[in-house]
Amino acid sequence: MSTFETLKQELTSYAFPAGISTSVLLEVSPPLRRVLQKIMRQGSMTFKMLSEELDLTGHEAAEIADLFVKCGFLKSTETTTDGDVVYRICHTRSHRPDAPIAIWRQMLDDMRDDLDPRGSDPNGNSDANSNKASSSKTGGNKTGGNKTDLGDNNLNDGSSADTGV
Amino acid sequence: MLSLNMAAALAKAGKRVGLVDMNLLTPSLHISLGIAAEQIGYTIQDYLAGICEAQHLPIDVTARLDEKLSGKLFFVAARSDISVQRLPREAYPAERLLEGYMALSDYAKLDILLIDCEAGLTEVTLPAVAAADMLLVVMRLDQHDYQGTGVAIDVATTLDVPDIGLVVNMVTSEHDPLEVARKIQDTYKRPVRAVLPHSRTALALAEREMVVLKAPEHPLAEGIVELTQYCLTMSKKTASNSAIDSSTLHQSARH
Repeated sequence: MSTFETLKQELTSYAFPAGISTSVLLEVSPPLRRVLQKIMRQGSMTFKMLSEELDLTGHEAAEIADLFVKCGFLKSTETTTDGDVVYRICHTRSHRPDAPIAIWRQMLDDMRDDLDPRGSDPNGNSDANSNKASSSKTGGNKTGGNKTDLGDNNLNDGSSADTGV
Repeated sequence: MLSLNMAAALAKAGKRVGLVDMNLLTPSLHISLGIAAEQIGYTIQDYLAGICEAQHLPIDVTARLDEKLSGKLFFVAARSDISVQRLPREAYPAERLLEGYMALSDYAKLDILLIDCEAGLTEVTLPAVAAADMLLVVMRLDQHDYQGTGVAIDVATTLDVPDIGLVVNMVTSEHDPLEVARKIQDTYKRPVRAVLPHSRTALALAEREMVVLKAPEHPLAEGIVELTQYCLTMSKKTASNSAIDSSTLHQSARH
């Protein structure tokens, strides 16, 4: 099977709508990993470089590039002055799974049940249930917002390191 | 301590060096540089959170090491406050970090960038490994490190890191360094770049001083200098073959 066919077949089996994390590189085939790794290392890769890297014809490279984008591996961010499309890795923001929180909560519920042999509230309004409801709201990034005054911290010299900014 | 001493040795060799403290859980390099936590300006966590840009991060600490150094050392600090610990765990923007490494290298015109990562493979360390031109896996002679080292090497190999080597740190005097190197090399099938002795003198110095600068004749200092010379040789080769302006060196240091 040609490189084009192999890549096409593999790419169609993936779907990362939110982008990829670095660990995804460990799961893909060596040819796919090699090109993604190179783009990650360089920061970006033009369409022309991509087709050369994969040793594909222009038509094949266009199809593969589209698949890369469609599957969530790459994003096309800009074009060079001569109109060549520039691709970058589409990184996902990796989130800590909520599972550990749920596990602790479940353990607490179980302990509560063990301590109270009568079981939960007969009306079904146990505290444990209300806790579970609130747990679904945990997680998510709340780090937004920038400081308005960045100051001049550009390449502090040794003496100004004491002040930091 | 190893990354700081490597950085100091590289600066002594006339290079413009960047050193990023990516040990986000327990950052400590600023302490060895004599920078109190409250004196740190923007940190790598601030950058990841979008509070500042990469050019706001580097602190020129050359004068703190030795004013006569012919090179430069730019340090990027991390903060260990509980408030900033949530970021790298909950939503880690790998893309921003990789762009930051490049921006930092360009902005400070670095010859080499050292990234001192926490032990283990996490979403924090993996992008650094993936982007590195050279990986030094630092291990000690204890059972815990043997397995972790094997996994780190396997992952780095899968990620096609161009140069993967081992540094055996804190080797006590009852071990023959050559024998240690041979055994480790046989076990992991990767070259051992240095076997560094455990030294009370160096540990005492390490509070505030760099052993490579204050006691260059010490066997530990000689070992680190030899290691940096290898890195420089390889970084020249990499720079000539890579589209990235300056070489990136990842060091998985274990303290």
